[in-house]
Amino acid sequence: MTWNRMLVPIVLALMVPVLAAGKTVQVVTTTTDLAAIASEIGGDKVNATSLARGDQDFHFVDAKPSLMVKLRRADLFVEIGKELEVGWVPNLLTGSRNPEIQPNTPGFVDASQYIHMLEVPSSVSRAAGDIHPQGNPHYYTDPANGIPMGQAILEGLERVDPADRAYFEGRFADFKTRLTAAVARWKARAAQLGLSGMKIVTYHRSWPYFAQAFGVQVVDFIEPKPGIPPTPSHLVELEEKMRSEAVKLIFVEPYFDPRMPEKVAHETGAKVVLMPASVGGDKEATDWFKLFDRELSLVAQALGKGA
Amino acid sequence: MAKRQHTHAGETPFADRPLAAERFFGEEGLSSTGLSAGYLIPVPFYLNLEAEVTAPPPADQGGVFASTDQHNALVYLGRVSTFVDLTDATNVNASATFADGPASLAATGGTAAPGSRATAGAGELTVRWKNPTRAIYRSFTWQTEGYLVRYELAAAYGAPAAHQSVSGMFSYVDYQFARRTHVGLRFDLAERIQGGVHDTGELAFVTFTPSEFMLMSLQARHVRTAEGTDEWNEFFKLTFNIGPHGAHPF
Repeated sequence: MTWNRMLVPIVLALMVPVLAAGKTVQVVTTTTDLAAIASEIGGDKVNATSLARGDQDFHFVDAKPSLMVKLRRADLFVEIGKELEVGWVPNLLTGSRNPEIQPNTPGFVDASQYIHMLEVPSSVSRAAGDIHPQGNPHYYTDPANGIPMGQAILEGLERVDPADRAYFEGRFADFKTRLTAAVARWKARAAQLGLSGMKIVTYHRSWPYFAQAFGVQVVDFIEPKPGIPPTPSHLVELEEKMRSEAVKLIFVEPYFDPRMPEKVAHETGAKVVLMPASVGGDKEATDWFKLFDRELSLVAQALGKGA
Repeated sequence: MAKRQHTHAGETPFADRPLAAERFFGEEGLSSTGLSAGYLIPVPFYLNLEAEVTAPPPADQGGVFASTDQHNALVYLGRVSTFVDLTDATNVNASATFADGPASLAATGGTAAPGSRATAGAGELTVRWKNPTRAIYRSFTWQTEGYLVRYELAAAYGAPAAHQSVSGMFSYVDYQFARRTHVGLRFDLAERIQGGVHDTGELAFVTFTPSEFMLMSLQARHVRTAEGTDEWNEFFKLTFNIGPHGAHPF
């Protein structure tokens, strides 16, 4: 047998796992919410991983070189967009040297493209804190936004894997049906808990979409301005406002120190709710559906109305 | 050269440059016009190769390399860097750099004749700790860089060809103990080309960041020269970020 004849089966044997692996679309997302939705749509034809953890502040993820390695092998990249990840994603995409997932390529998905944005500022000034010129990027706190986020991901998957279009569309239709039913159930539960019109305070300006979805009224924030840590004078004013407006709940994401909100809650009679905010934000929020089950359960516990 | 040379002075924790970095590579680091290429090696962890060819920096920029009358005198640089996550919170960054180019007349104290060359090596090790869930409140960085420069001095002025080597290093820790506040210490060591003596230094800093877009840092530096004299400097560093939200340095 000549060397050439010996090499052919060896090369083919080496290629088999590569070809098999090629059937699975490697999706890398910035957040766990996006990975959860990509897994709902992609099923066993997708391997979705998130760069950030669910209990991490997505504004402040370190652009670690190890994340570039993850991106180098990605077929599809999905971000929340609207500058939420502007401090770390551009560096990672450039460092990945993966031309398939750069902005304006088929492998790049901005999950915000079909979202109706809230709090789009009419003017932008750094004096207002860390505001986002294209609107508040925390749209993933509204469970119904899973559908437009999923639509953007579906289109991305179809671009990079057109052969499995029917499979992805079937799973997306099923996801929409299940999510629509779940949203109706969550809204009924929120009404039962008396959330409609309830006044709350949140640590960061992360919850306007949740508030709109469930009728909650966010009256103020622990942060005096987005991204600016609380000051003593602001907290004094906040406590007065909370007492006068009978604020019952303070929403705090897992990555903020809860001691300051707990002190404010102690002074005002409100309850602190450590809201997971994203899939993986706590141990029970393991997928898009369980996230909102968990959040409403935590609100119910804080209000003394069961889990 | 090593990681510190890749970072704009304003993005470092310091108001100055470490003694050895400034002495060997100038106030602005080794920067010049040229070509650079990088390759991320396809292995399961981060392993990056870089190669650069640049014109020598102008003589007034400082550092071991400088432009000469020789038209073909270029600076060649190669760098390998790696990064490993030990845990979600702890990681290690290491790099080694090698550069070769025309020696600076000033850096050699006037002993470099035309045709003299300098070869520089640098090694860097950085250990970071930052719990992702509490990333905005607590972090710790320890970084050490070491440099070794070898001059190949051409024969001239009646003197024979010769070799001379100098070395230097710095090491610092930066501890963030609250959302807005960091404290840190740095130790410097820089050898002089004449006499094999060295200068040492220490820098201490307290940095307050009212927001992500503003930084205020009080710093004090002590340098003990080879002659035994002490030099004290105090710095106040103030940084404003204006315009859109920039990328976070890492």
